[in-house]
Order: sequence, then C-alpha cells, then structure tokens
Amino acid sequence: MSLLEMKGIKKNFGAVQALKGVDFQIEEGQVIGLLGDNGAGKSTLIKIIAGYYHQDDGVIKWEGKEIFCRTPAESRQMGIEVVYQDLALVNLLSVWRNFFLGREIETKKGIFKFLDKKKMIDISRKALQGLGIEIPNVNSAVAFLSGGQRQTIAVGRGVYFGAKLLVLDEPTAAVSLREVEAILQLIEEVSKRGIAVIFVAHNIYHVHRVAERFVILEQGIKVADVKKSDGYSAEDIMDIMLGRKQVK
Amino acid sequence: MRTESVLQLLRFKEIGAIIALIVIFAFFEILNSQFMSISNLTTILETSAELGIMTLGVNLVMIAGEFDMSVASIYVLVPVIFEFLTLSGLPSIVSMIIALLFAAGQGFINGFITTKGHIPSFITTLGTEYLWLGVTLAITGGYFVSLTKGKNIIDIFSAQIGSTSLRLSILWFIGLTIVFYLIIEKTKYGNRVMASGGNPAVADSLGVQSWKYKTSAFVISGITAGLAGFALFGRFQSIDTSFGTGMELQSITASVIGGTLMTGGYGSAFGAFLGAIILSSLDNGLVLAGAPTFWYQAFVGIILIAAALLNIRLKTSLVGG
Repeated sequence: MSLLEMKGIKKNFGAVQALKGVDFQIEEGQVIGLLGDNGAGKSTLIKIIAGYYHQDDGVIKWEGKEIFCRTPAESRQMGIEVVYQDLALVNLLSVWRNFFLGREIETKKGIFKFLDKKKMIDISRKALQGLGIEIPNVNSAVAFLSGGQRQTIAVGRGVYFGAKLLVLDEPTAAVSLREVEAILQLIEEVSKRGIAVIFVAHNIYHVHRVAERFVILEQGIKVADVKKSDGYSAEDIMDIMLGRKQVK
Repeated sequence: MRTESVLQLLRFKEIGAIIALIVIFAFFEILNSQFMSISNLTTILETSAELGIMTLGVNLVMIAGEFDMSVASIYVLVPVIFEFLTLSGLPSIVSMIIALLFAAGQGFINGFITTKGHIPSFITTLGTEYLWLGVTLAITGGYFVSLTKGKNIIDIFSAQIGSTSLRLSILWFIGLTIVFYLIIEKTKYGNRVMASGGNPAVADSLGVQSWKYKTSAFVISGITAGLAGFALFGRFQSIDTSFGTGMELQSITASVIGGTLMTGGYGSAFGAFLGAIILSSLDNGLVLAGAPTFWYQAFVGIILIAAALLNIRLKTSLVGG
C-alpha cells in the first residue's frame, strides 16, 4: 500500500490543460525528486496534493483510502505538510510564534486562556535541535533568518506535528551553498524517520543526492518515473529532461 | 550610528512613543511650569480618553493589516442611536446593548466586504464612513442631540470619580489598554491577528483563516468607537456630527506614533495609549503656552513624521527588515 497514490490526475485552468492524466505514488520514507521545466505542471500537482486545488478528474488515495475534496488545513491534519518557498512563515513574528501558528498551546488562568509561551519556546527549540537545525534564538523574528534557516524551520514544524509526507517546493532555490548542504542533510534525516518527501526542484544535482526516485513532468504529462537504483545518473536525468535521451 | 546603538539598549515597540512623550513634556514644561501640575496632567488624561479608547480598536485593525476610517461616524452615530432608543421608551440598558450591537454589526460588514470582496479596507471604510455620517445627519437633522433619559447608564463611562476632577472614562481607557495588551501579546487570538496582518497568505496556508481575524478586528474597532462615543456623550451631555470630524485620522496618527506599522502585523496597545496621550498633551501644551490653536495641527504633523522615522528604524532592529 502506497502512502499516497494518484491516478489519472487531470486539471484544467480555462483552456490550459495543466495536468493531462498524471499517475503518481510515493511510499513511506521515500524521497522523490519531482522535476520538470517551468509550466510542466509540478506546482499544480503539489497544490492538488496540498488540497489547495482539486483535480478535475482522477483518483487520490491516502494510506489506501480514497480521499475527496479537502482544504489545506485538512490535508495538514492528515499528515501532508507542504512547505512553499515564500509561504511558510510570517516574517514579523518570532520563530516560536511561527512554529505554533494555528496550533498554539494555551494555559488556563482563571477563566481566561493565555498562550503558554514558555512551553512553546521550549518545544520549538528542542524540536529544531533534535533535527540538527541551528537557530540561535527562537525568540527572534523570522525576518532576521536566512532563506535556508526559514526552510528548515518549516520542515521542523511539519515533522514535529506528525507529517507523514513533506512536500518541499524548491527548497534549495535562492539559498547559499552551505545551507543547501544543511537542507539536504535534513531531508535525509527526515526520511530516516519514515517520513516521505517530495522534493520539487530545478537543480538535478541537489535532488539526485537525496532522492531514490525521479518523476519528470513535461507539459502536464509524466514523461519519466525512474529509480536511482536502476543506474540513472544525474546526467541521465538531465538528458531525459532535455529530451536528449529516452527512459531505459 | 549612535541612534542604532541606543535603540539596541531600548528594544521595545513603544520606545519611540516614550521618547516623543518625554520631549513634548520637557518642551511644554519649559514654556509653562503649570504643564506638569497634577491638575493639568489629569486634564490631559481626561481629554485623551475618548480618542484613546477609539485608537485601541483602530490600532488592532491596523495590526490585522487593515484600516478603519468609519470610526469617526460610528463614534457619533452609536450615542445617537442610544438616545433615540431611550426616547422611544426602551430601557437604557437595552438601548445601549442595541447601539453596541449596531457598532459590532457595522464592523462585521466592513470586514466582510473587505475580505470577501477583495477591496482595500481604506476604501470600504471610507465608504461606510460617508454612509453612516449621512445616516447620522439624516436622523438628527444636523442638530445637537442631548442626553436625556439614559443619563444614569452613560455615567458608567464618564461620571466624575468621587470628588476628583477625574472621569471614569480614564479608567476605561487604562483598563481597556491593559485588556488589549493582553489580547495582542498573550492570546491565541492576538497571535493570529498579527499573523493575518503580517502575511495573510501564510496564515491561510496554516489553516488560520485570516479573513475571520481581520473581520473580528473591525467588529472590535466598531465597539471601541461606540464606547468612546458614550464617554463623549457623557462628558458633553450632547452630541452632533462635528464631534467626530477628523477622529479617524487622529486615531491612525496615535497608532503610528505608538509604533504600529501601516503595513500590518506589528503594533502595540501601550504604544496606541501613549500615542493618544501625546496628541492630547500637544493640544493642551499649546493652549497653556498661549499659542494659537491652529499650531496644534502643525505640531501633530511634525511629531507624526518624526515618530514614524524613529519607529521604522526601531522595527528594523526588533524584527528585521
């Protein structure tokens, strides 16, 4: 039984067919590189996974059960955590406020409920440290942090709240070289814990190191779905994407 | 830069307003030694109460990333509705509840139109500001409305405290400031209001429905404008539309002086409190100094810009660029 199984997914935006019947599945703890040029349908696919869009046609099964229309919040409750590049954190708020946004911990004082700030600071610090994420101070505003740090906080948040599938939208774009390394290590760590990861990227070399399977989309069609263990090098994947090589 | 290092030591949202207040107090004390007398300080507090109570709500709307321009009309219309209901024979407590329900309801309409119609709240509330101003003029015929049957209940907002010259409105202002501070900084609701103002798309993607938090801020702002209107009604025992003139801009000014960002997601109830006090001290100090009253507006302009310049630097050092 796959963690997530999608069959014949179609999505149209007016006259534009963004997805023309795509099949996709991912197993527990698996890391998949989702590749393709701009307009290939990657972001439409992950937005359907997120529950942000709903497919016009096709079936989605989560842990073997068919799932229907859901909101992004419902998807998150099911264990699907999507980390968008710029839509992960509120810059003006502190790390711990972001970590618990929408899932705040409260404490009762008489008839009133207040934020349990101490507990949330403590949990967020420990949860991030446990994944090897170094954030100097969880009290500081997110705007002070680098792009890479922001990505890792969003991932750490998903892991802490029990995500079974992490969808990372271009996590290594616009991030310094050292931080790419930190993000790749985090993906490996997360996968070890049995969490599946869909890694959406342009840069084949980043994906190739951590992914065991590659799914390539082109103009709304899946043109390749190959395993690294079948001997596909980064160059092979690149050649397939550029149309210079067929799937073996 | 020296100012930067000073700000490093005093890193809290309200520091800009505190500096402005100290400068203004020092300036007017030099001009007139009566300025810092107890009786004058109570006068300043008393005249700041109505603007201040209104500002707390307007400030919350700004933290939620929106503007509320309709408060100036609501400030007058809510007491007018109250007066007309008591005259029609309804008990004054019932009249007050209905008037406040109206204040809350119009706030909901402001929020709903803004968030669901996807238009800037500046436009929505400018529209409703005109709407309710017109309605107020129509039902009062443009005349003063005097406080009659509801005097007893209005007293809970504006009666004098014992034999002092202080009015209850000051206690409302201070009490509500503490309540708003707790709501913004210490509650789940406040956390989500800040998030909805700071980045509604992120809030939405985390399941925090930003439109609800924005809309609720308008509801609260309507209620505080109504409460401020009751305090005003009690103080003057009569009211007409001219009392509200410019109050929407003054409350935004007070919020900005207090450190709240025009772009949302960041602000402080204590800052708004200080902002309102600063505006009334300016007014008061200029009168004591014997300056013609039109200088008030000139000074407000200068203080507003100076405070905004200081606050934006402070904000950068507190929560980044």
